[in-house]
Amino acid sequence: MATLRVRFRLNPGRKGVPLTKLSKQAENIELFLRSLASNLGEDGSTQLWLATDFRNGSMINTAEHQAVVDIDQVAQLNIAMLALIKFKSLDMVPPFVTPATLDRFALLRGALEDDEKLGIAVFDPETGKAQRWHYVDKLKLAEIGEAIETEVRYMGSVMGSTHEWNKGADKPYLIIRELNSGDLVKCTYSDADYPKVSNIFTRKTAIVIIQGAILFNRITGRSEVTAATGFEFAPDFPDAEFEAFFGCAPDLTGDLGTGEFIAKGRADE
Amino acid sequence: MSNPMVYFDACCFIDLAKTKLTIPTPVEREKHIYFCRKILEASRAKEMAVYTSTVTMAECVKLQDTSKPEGRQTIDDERVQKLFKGMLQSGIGVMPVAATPSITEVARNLRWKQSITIKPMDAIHVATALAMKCTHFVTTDDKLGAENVKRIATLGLIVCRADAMSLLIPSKYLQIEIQAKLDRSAASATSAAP
Repeated sequence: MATLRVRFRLNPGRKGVPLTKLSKQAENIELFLRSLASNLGEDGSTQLWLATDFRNGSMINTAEHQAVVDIDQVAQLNIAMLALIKFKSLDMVPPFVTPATLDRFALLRGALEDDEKLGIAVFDPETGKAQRWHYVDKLKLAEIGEAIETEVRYMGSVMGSTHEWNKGADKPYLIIRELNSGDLVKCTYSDADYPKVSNIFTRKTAIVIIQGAILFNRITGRSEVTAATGFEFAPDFPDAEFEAFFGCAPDLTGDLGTGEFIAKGRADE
Repeated sequence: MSNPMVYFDACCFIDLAKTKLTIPTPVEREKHIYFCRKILEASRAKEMAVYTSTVTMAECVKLQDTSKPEGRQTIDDERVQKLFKGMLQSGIGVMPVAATPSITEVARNLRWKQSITIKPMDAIHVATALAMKCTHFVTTDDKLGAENVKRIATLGLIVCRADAMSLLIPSKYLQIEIQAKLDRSAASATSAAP
């Protein structure tokens, strides 16, 4: 068993570190490490990353996650850290590292000066010893920040319950409580669709489907309907119909078994 | 603690729609179908969460069997269509999840980055389950392949039949059935008594 640990060296080659920079970088590092711990399936809440093993000089310390983890996770952490430090393209980054974590890593540049480096060392999972220092600078971190595709645009739909309506805004919008995530999703629409929007507010608790152009932010994980064009009620499904569903189509797959039927549909034969 | 989150592959809904059989479902599937139904009941009561991709709707239609054209009918029964629409699109009990660009990207990466060599439609289903952070992927599709199933498990998603996850179903949904069986036994014992 082991712990997740990363060693940091702030302001290398200079005397000490300004307190303002120290506090800012400590906050940035914690946010990044919490995000990375979450990606590894560990608790990403506050107060779990402890700064230990301080050394004199510029400012060297180890950030250690206060939980015992499997040695494989330490290896995964190291793979992710080294991929970020040696970043050349997004393909190098392990798939479990989310865009939010990448963004957090790139934001470490916020407390760096133009000619300043940030030292990072991972620990050998077997021996527990700190490995050699790697350094990133503002330019490298900016490169990572620019590589992240922050926004994705597509035509799609959002399903949820109506929450709020602002018909008087310059660009009128309604807000939907999304069914899957529980997030509030802003849906901007054209004034010409006022009657359709009005209609979906007639049933207070109904589930509605809003279709249109969607903007998805990969870092925050939030969606926004930037141009809603479809406004419908989701079909109702009372208990009686739920009961009626079972066995409603006994001959659905004809002579085929369900597996064969699915395979045929997925062109799997 | 959050409710258990489960993904239903299209075959689950097809089996459920076929439950009152004229063409028998293989016996080993009966337990799976029973627990699928219990999971849906728990999900309607918001004690579990069942997700499925919106592509499931497209898969739950009758296929034309070109080898036996005479033996096939399409589902043109409006009532059946309405029931499928209610089950898969109402958002009550089953959460439909659209195949967004993020999900299709994960589906692609299953092959590119995880070496999970499943068919594109299977990949959409698996990616949707991963995106919704489901713990179980309920299917009877054996064609996913044992090696792929192992690799999917490393991503935190267990591929299984519904009967393999009976412990996740709140006990009250299973107790009702046991009670009903006991009631039936008691009733038959009473009627058989002299």
